[in-house]
Amino acid sequence: MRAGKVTRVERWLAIQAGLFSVVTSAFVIHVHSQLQPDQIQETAALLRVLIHNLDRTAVGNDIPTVPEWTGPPPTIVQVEAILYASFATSLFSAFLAMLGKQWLNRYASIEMRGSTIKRSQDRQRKLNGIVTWYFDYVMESLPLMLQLALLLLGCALSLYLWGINTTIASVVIGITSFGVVFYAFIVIAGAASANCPYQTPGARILRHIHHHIHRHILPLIQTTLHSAFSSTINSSCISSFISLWGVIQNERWSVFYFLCPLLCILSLPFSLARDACLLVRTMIMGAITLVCGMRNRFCWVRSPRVDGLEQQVVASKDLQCISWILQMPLDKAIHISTLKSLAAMTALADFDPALVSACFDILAGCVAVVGREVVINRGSEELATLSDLCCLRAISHLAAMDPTSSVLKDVRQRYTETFPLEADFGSFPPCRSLAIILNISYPPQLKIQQKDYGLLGNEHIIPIQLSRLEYQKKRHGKVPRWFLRFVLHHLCQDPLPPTPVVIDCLSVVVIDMGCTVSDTTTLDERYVHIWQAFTSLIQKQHTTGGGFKPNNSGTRNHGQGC
Amino acid sequence: MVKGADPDAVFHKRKAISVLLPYAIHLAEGGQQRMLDTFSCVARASNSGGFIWHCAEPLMATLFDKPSTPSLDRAIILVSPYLDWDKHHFNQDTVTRWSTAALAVLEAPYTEEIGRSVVDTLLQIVSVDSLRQHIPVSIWLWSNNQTSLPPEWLGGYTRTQEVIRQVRALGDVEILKSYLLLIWLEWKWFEDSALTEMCTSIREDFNGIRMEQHREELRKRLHHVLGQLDQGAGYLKKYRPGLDFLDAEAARDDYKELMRVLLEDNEAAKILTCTPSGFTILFDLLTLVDTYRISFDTRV
Repeated sequence: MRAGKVTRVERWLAIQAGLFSVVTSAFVIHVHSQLQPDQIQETAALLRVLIHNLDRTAVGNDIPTVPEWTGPPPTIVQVEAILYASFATSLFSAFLAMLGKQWLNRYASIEMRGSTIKRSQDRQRKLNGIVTWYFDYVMESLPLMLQLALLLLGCALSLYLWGINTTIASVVIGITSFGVVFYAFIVIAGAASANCPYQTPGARILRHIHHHIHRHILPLIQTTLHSAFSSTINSSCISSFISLWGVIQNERWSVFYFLCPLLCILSLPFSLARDACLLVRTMIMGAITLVCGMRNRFCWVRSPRVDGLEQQVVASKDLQCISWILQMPLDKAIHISTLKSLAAMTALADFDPALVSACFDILAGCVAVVGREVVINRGSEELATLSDLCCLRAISHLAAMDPTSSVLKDVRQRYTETFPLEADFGSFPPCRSLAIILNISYPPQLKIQQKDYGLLGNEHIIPIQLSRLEYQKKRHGKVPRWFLRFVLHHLCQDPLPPTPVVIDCLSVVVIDMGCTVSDTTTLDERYVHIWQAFTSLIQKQHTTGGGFKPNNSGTRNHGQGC
Repeated sequence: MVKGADPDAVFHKRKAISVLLPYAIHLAEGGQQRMLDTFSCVARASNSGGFIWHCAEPLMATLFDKPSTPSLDRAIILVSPYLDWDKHHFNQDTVTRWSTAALAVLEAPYTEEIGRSVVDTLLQIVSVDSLRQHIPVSIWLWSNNQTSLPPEWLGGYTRTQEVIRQVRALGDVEILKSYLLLIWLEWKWFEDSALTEMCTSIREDFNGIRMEQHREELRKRLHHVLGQLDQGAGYLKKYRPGLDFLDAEAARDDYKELMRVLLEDNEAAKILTCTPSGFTILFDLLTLVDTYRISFDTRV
């Protein structure tokens, strides 16, 4: 998809760059003759001298001389330099366009050998390379180069014609200026509004810079300045003396009442010197902090990384392939096969968030809303079930990994657009992922009830979620409420789910309590974590005299131990 | 207090703790009680009503539908104080099941935790209009003998004028007495309206010769609580480290007022009880004859 778009642009660019180079070359040739001595004028001067020697009255009283060549006029040199720059730029643009065509041909070539999975992985590898090496940016720089060449040509023409005829030059300058102003306007308009149709690469860069300044750099500067100067003021000797003076003023009959002014005056130079040192040190530290922070903020400005096939995790690449296939309007059988592969995967590490949207789109495409009732389209039962399962996994994963993801918001919006508020899912068995979206989207009274969560027997969501729960732990140890509901539902099963699932459920509880979970796999160690979590909680609480002793059953007669 | 203590730390994590509860009950049914005990301890440390997360409540309510077993009964008793009894899914059957479980568990060796849980739940059920009347008298009778309960429980907030009035409206002196005996165990002062209602109740509901036994029990309970309050800060702090002594002083004044009201009618009753027993026999004989006469006239 990305390659197709680039191919069309590149074809158009190659033609335009060729045409532009031809036009520029005509002007270059025309101006180039003025860089050398003008043979015609020299010949005319010599003729004039010869005629003067033959008949001194023929050319008047002035004695004709042969002008000495002192080099081309500076204006012509400048014009020619600019024209050559324009010409070189357009030629380089044409050269890159040709290369781009070659690169894209190589990208679009299909390997006919190997299995489907192998070929998909190969395609994914190429796509990853395009993303990693900023291929889009390189291709988008070609129009910029052509625009630059046009600007240079306009400037050169204006300069050249200004020396010949100001009227003609004014026309060219006017049109060139209008072009520049128009381009600046569309760049600013494109940067100001993302919906503006006149988008240019410059607008995108401008928007990016504005976003970074507004979101990162300004707060960083404010924070740095605030922390720097507040610490300086707090540690200032002057403020100490001021407070000391206030204390002594209250002790009117103290010995210090008389000595204090003298002490203050004597030590004031030292205080000022110390404060100056503190201020300088703070400013230096602030500058260092600012530079470090800016470097961290702009970590996106980096050279492309070389990620070879051997360095990529196969599972990650498979997920990218699956995501791409699901987004393509392919045959239903292919989607079913792909979804089965996704459902069979044990981990969703580094998956593409677009997978959530793709699964939801397939699921939404399998159902229809008749009145208030949601029904599955005939013949789409298997696809609906599989897409529901995969959607559930993907949403759960994303909601835990990145709860603020824009993809989740997008899915919520699509849900509200697809299903009415009072939709009846009674005759729609695979409603679990929709229930999750409901839980995310709507107030509590409209949620699907706990009993409606019909988990499959082989569906172990918890192990899948555990890795990103560690991530949650780093962010204040807060587990999403809907996920706690799932854990609750797991633990309410009769009989209980398999032991690994129980272990993971207990881990979730411990993590939500703000404790660390080690990578253990035994139930007993999870119990220890739970006691630790309880102990920690009770310690945080205002404890009573009786206290809570997790390892001591006290006077109770029921402490059997787990 | 621990450095950086958060008085609501446990309550903030009630969702996670509630999630653990079904598993704790599962273990308890298998004979492993410790996690459930831990839950009870932690939940009590929060000192907050409505501790169980509302998502877990429907699942907890299903416990009342299961057949009675010793371990399940105990689980029900330990969990019940933390349920929101004002919800619609609790009804007469639920209260009956809880009472059965409570009576069954109380037959086992008594523990302070069980006693507190029963009292907590009892007082919460009393505050619900639709459930109050379904509490069996046997539970109230059990509660009459409880003086060793700690002076603070979750049901303490039910000591309002409205609840007292509703309990009086049940028309059962035994229940009313048991209720007063329970709520007087807490070392807390009463609202003026609640105190007035209790004084009225003592004067109106416990008036007469036949109420002497009840009045004596009330008097003993007040004497017991006042004795505790008189033992000073060291004693009170031992049981309630966060006690405010001004509140304790206010509570003592309230209890003294109740004692005064109780004793003012006691003087009249004492006169009657001190009269020769012959008068009492004569009064009873006259009453018997009068009853026979009325029934005879009715038949004629």
